[in-house]
Amino acid sequence: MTSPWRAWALLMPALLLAGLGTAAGAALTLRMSLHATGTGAGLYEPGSFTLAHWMSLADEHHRAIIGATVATGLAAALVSTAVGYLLALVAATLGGGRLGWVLMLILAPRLSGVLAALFGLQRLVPRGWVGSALAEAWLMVPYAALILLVALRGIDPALPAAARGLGAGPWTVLARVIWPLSLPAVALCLQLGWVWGLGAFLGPLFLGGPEQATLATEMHREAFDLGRWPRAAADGLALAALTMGAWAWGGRREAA
Amino acid sequence: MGLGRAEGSGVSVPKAVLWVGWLALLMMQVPLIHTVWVSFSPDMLLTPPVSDWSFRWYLAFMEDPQWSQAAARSLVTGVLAAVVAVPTGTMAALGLRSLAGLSRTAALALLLAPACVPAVALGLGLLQAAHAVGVAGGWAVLVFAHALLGLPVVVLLARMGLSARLAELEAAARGLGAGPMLVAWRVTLPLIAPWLSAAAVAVFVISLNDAVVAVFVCGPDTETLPVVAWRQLRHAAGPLVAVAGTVTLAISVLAGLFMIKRPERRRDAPE
Repeated sequence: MTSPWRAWALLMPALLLAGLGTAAGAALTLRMSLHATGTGAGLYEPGSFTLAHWMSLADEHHRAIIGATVATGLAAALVSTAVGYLLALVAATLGGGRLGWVLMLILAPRLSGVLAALFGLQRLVPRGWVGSALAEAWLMVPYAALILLVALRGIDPALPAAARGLGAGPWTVLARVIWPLSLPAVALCLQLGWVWGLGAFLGPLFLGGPEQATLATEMHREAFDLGRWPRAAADGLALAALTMGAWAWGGRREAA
Repeated sequence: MGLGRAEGSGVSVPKAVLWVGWLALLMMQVPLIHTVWVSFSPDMLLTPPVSDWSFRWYLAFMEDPQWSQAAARSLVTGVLAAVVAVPTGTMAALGLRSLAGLSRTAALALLLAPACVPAVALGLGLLQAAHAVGVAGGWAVLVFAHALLGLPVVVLLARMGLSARLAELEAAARGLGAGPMLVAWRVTLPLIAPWLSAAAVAVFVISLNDAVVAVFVCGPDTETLPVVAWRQLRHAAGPLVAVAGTVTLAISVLAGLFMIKRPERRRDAPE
């Protein structure tokens, strides 16, 4: 153990990195969201002040986008948890080198170039709600599978064995022993999936249409396609607030 | 109805469920297989070749400076991001051991924040910060951004390596008269080295695959492979995007194999 001042000295570079990258970035983004859109080369009009970008978050257009964001998050969370459970069941029956290879395949969506996968998905999955949610779920499955695998490997092997000894069939063991014991991990996956799904971006951008626009894709459109950076800043901060709120709500539920 | 073998955890699963699981695992690989397959197409058509396979687009990829330079930049950026994130995150994990209560919770929350904030919001914030300090579009901000993305992973992996058993060994070394630096150099670092090498590979792979934050912070001279691919994918994706994806996939798989094999080598090593 080290003294507190030495502990803070060790922490300082990382805190500076994280603080500058997140907190300072958020503060500067907030400042930009309170300015008028730039008319020249700048991202915003210096010296101006407006709340219009924040007020626009309550308009019909943004209400639809926030609805789509929540719906995409929920769909991606449900699909990724369901598929992740199946993959975790497969991995839980393996050990040694075979487990390593299967883990590589499970992690493939995160290990591979995401754009390589999107290139493939664009040609195999229909654009629209299905494509958007499936692509987003596809990117989240590895996290769900890993969390569920840890939970399944934590189940005392004596419990399913005892159930089998008492005459329970394999489906009964799965439904009455393994599933109930893994439910807390399933709930965690759904919660994490939904929170991550709120930031859905690549799926809706590359496989969705205008109706599947999420806060993240709207922010990107405002910034890069329309050049309205202050409005994009308000969208981005609303998205960050929504996500952090969901994290905090999840944390409070965990604590309770 | 048969059961899947309980080789790993003792969990017995009906074979029908296992088959569906294997099918799902296979289906998840289909988009990647499709991309790799299309990259060997002999023509501009984005269809997988059957009889005529060609390396034409790989040659074009290497000869086109836009793609080849972006690939080189991606590799260098990944290495630099790992060089920044691993020592920084490891020091933070060491520091966290000596904190308790609210200060520890607050520090950990800030360190993990980059993983919780949506990447688009993070990218916009980083762009603003880069403009404020006059380094927008430069390589430094890209390395900083990717180190930031990798920091939570390094902190978590280093904390996993810093087990209670390690604390006992450090205490034993101190009891034998070793100073803090000697304990860190001869006890702590060698024992958490496998975790740190895994963290370095993870940061490299995160950097190599990041497109979202990079789109915000890259300048014309610092575009990475995913950013160049992004542009084409949004408008008119050609076979070179498939090649770029395959190259990234190959590098990531090699890095992943390194992550899997290294702990195995360590386990196999004589005591």
